[in-house]
Amino acid sequence: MSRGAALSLTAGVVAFAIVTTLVGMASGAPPEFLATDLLMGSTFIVAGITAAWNRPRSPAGPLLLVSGALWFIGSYAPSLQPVVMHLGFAFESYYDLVLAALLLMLSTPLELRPRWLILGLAGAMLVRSLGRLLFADPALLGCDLCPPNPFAIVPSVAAFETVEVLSSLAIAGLAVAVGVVGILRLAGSGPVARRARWPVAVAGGIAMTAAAYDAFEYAWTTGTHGPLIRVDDPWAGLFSWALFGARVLVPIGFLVGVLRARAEPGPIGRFAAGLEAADEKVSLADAVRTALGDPSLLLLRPAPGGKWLAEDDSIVALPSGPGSGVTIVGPREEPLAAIRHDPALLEQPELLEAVVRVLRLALDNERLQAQLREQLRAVTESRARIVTASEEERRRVERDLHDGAQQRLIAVSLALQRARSSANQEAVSSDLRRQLGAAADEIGEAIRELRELARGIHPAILEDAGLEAAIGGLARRAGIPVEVAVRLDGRLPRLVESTAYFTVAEALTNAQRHAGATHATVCLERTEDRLVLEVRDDGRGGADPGRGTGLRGLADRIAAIGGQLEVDSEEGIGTRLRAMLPTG
Amino acid sequence: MTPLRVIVADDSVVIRQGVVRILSEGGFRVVAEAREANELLEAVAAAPPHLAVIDIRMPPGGTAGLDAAVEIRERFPTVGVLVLSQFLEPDYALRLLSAGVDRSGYLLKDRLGDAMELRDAAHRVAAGGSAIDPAVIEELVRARHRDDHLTRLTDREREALGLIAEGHSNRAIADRLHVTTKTVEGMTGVIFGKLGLEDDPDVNRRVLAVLLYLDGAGRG
Repeated sequence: MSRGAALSLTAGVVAFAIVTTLVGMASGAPPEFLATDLLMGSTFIVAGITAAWNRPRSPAGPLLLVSGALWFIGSYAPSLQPVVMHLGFAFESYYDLVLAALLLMLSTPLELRPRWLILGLAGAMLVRSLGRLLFADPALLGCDLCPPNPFAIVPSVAAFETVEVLSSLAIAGLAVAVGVVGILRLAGSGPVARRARWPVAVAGGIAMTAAAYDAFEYAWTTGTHGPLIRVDDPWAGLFSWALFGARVLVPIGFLVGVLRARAEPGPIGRFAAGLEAADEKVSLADAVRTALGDPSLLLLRPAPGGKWLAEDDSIVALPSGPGSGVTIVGPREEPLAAIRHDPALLEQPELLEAVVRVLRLALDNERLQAQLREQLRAVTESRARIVTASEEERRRVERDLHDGAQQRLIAVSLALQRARSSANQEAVSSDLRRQLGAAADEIGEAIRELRELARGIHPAILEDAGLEAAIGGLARRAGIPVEVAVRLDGRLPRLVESTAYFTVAEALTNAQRHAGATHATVCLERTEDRLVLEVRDDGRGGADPGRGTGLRGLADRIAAIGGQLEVDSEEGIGTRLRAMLPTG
Repeated sequence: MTPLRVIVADDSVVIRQGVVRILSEGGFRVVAEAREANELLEAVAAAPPHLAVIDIRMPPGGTAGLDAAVEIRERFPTVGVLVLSQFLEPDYALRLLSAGVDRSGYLLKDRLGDAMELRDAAHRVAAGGSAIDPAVIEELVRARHRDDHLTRLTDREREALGLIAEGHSNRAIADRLHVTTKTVEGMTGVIFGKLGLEDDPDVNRRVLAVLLYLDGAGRG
């Protein structure tokens, strides 16, 4: 029911209440009766409009408002106005029928089950109303003050009493049945429903008990012409008001439930906090469970083929149809997730919607993070591939230089040597001999330069003999004394060896060229899963990996194979370069 | 005098032919040529020569030539091996010498431009001595230069130490330094004393002692 319709209905019921009270005042009803009656009836109206306002989709609001209207019909019974008094007497307790319907609808708001219970109750009430209307004649029943019944077409004490007793007994029995079914249904419903509805259900049970007592008392007094229970006066009035009050417990229960749900401190705020804390220990699903107060809730992820996966990756079927507890998160054609929950949560659409909205943000975030991680992984892998490829390329270039250019230069050198030896045997000018000698020297120099170039690109000894031998060579060729402490056990992966080699080479070059060091130490140690490399010098320090291409390139190269580079280079103290390279 | 028998192994035809020519013109008799390591080992086993001149890098790959040289030194003690290398790496030379200092040589290929150097090294190795390329010794000495002991040597003594390490005899050193053999013997005693080494009349053991001393550099 829309809020506008709820307001209109409320206005109608309030008007009816005012009219009833005015009629009561006009007919001289005692003020305390009118006040109490109005207070009790108003409780239904207040609870009804509150429920209709907060739970527009729930039938509770309109039903409570209708109960309020029905409440005041009974108030005409003691008015002694001929028409309204008998109508009031005939239709006095129809609010019990609506309360019964409310109680039965608690767990399945859109359905009324078992239907026969309500239809039976309605039928019994209608029969009793007709009996009271058609057969009851106050004069015959011994009420001298009462005005005659204008509807009594066939006044008959026997007919009235028979219908009254049988229908009242039926009403009493059915009211008890409704109470029992309502309570049992509450016990069997989900945790959200239980927590939200127990006040109403308990109130409903009490109300049904009172209704059953009332009906049974009618049957008893009509059948036996004696009181069921003798209650002495000052208590008699209180007792009958208590029976009315039992019905009023139902709207009060509703009010309590609705207001409590509103007063609960920001479930969305708590949910957001829960999401923030969500990690391996507290899952997203747990946060949703807490926020919606449904421990049995399942957070399902879409899988190919329209399937849904639970947290433990088991395939879960989604119930369908109206009133099934399923809420889809994200666009329907491309959902991010689905929540399978207690259907009772459908009655709190605002909470559900807010949680879904926050959840969607969280899932979007999660998806983006996964994308980012995937991209990072791809970039990391491609970087490693690029480094491996460049490493292969260096190796190939080194080999090509040795086996190609250098071999050719050696061949030229051999040819020149032959020419020189021929020249020595023949009468050629000393000038030509000198020229041949100079050419041979040049070739020799070219071969030596090419050898150094090839070694700089990728030392053959690194591949042939390993890191220890190659670093020994670096230390030997360094212009300053270098102490080397190497503790390796066998060979390491190629990329680790070459990265370590070039790190030491760069560090020693820096020590000598830029830091003006007079001494350096190189230390290599292999732990279980990595190679730890340290180069220290006694130079002037001040090296910064952020500046200059040498250290930056080194850091990139080390990072590419998943290692780390630390540079401690305090001005005046020297430089300590430490690299950790994974060997696994 | 019967000519010294030599096997030449190199996968490059041009270089192999150049080496063969230089050695032949120098009075050696090249009895076989090999293009790869196994062929070389088979030729040596079939008729052990006085000397095998071996390219360090040969098929099947890596430093197969060096490995073959070491194997020949171990299996055929009478065969000298002279490894021709494009790598200025003392480690390779030391690996070769680990199989025995005598009848072993490590020569850089840029020496091929000078026929006399190849022939001289070949003669020394075939005669039971050793021949280590001066550039290799120079790298070792330079690395050791910073060492306290080595700085106590005079320039001339350091020059003599290099020649000792290369595998030259006292007479050859005397010739190169233009002094008498007696002077060289005296110098050797001084050098070994300054380095804290024991002078050894055996040339090969002397080479080993010096090389091991020099190789101590960079292995703190």
